[in-house]
Amino acid sequence: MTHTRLDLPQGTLDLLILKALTLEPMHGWAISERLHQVSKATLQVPQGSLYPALHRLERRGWIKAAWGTSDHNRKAKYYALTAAGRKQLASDAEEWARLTAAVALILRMD
Amino acid sequence: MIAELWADLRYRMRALVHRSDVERELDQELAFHVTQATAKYLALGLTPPEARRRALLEFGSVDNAKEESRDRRGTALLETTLGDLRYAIRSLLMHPGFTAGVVLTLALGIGANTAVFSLIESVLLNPLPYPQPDRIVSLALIDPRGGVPGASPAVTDRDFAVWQHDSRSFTALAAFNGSAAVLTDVAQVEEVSGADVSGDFFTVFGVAPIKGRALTPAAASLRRFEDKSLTSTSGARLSLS
Repeated sequence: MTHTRLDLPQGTLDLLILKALTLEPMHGWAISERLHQVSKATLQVPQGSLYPALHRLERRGWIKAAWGTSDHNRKAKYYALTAAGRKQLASDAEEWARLTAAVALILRMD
Repeated sequence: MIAELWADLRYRMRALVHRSDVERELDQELAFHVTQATAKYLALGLTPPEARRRALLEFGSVDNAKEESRDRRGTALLETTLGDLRYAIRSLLMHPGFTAGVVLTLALGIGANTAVFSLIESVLLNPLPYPQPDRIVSLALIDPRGGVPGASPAVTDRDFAVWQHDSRSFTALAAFNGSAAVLTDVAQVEEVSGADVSGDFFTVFGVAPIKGRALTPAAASLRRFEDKSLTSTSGARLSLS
């Protein structure tokens, strides 16, 4: 079961985490799985960097953490998007779109 | 921007104050992740030890993840400083003799410095408590041949009279000769320090005596005494005894 791992450009992981949390609060494992599924198994989030990223986002106030119970009644730390986080997501997403559009233009050159 | 700073501060405060809680939570969070991953591989048909091994492999180094999370906390500098401080205090407590020596040395040093500085401040640095203190000067004679170091030739009445008559540089000139007297009372005997002064003495300093009349040039031969209990380092509150 090997996946083609794409290397995430710097800072993209933050964007993906914020997006993953738009619908509902999730714990780290769920975020990792969700990203994997939705990207049609292309993206394997480097799990070692997932948690430092989550903690960094929490420190900046874009997500907030709360302890809850998972489906199997285990204690898990759930992360939810804050209002500031939503704003940040919107601006980051727009920036990403502009960046990729620009890169695509250049690649289509000649 | 402000909200972000505030969130940052609160996060760091929690990391500092409830450090063991935060560490425990980190452990639990990562353990949960590995457990879920293991469950996933179990469901896919691997044996328990295989599943766990796979899960850990996929995660990468758990300790690394913990370290990185700690780095992200932003309290590293303060935490290490506090840790060093605690270690230093423990070491000092284990060597009481040495610690006592250090404390004593510091106490003596700080105490001596404070005392000397206080003295210098009151004697040299603080202005005299008279109006226009920077205009009050003291005149003395120097022996051009050298003579005894520290001892200046005496200014005689005649010298003073000449200065007062001829000099144009001073608003007022007064002569001063320290003296002492003994006050006796029914109950006690007290020695008081004072001065013999010339008529313009009060004019030079621009003050009036606490008790009694100021001298005028006419009443030049009266003596005035300093009130011992009111003597300050610059010393010139006067009272009539």
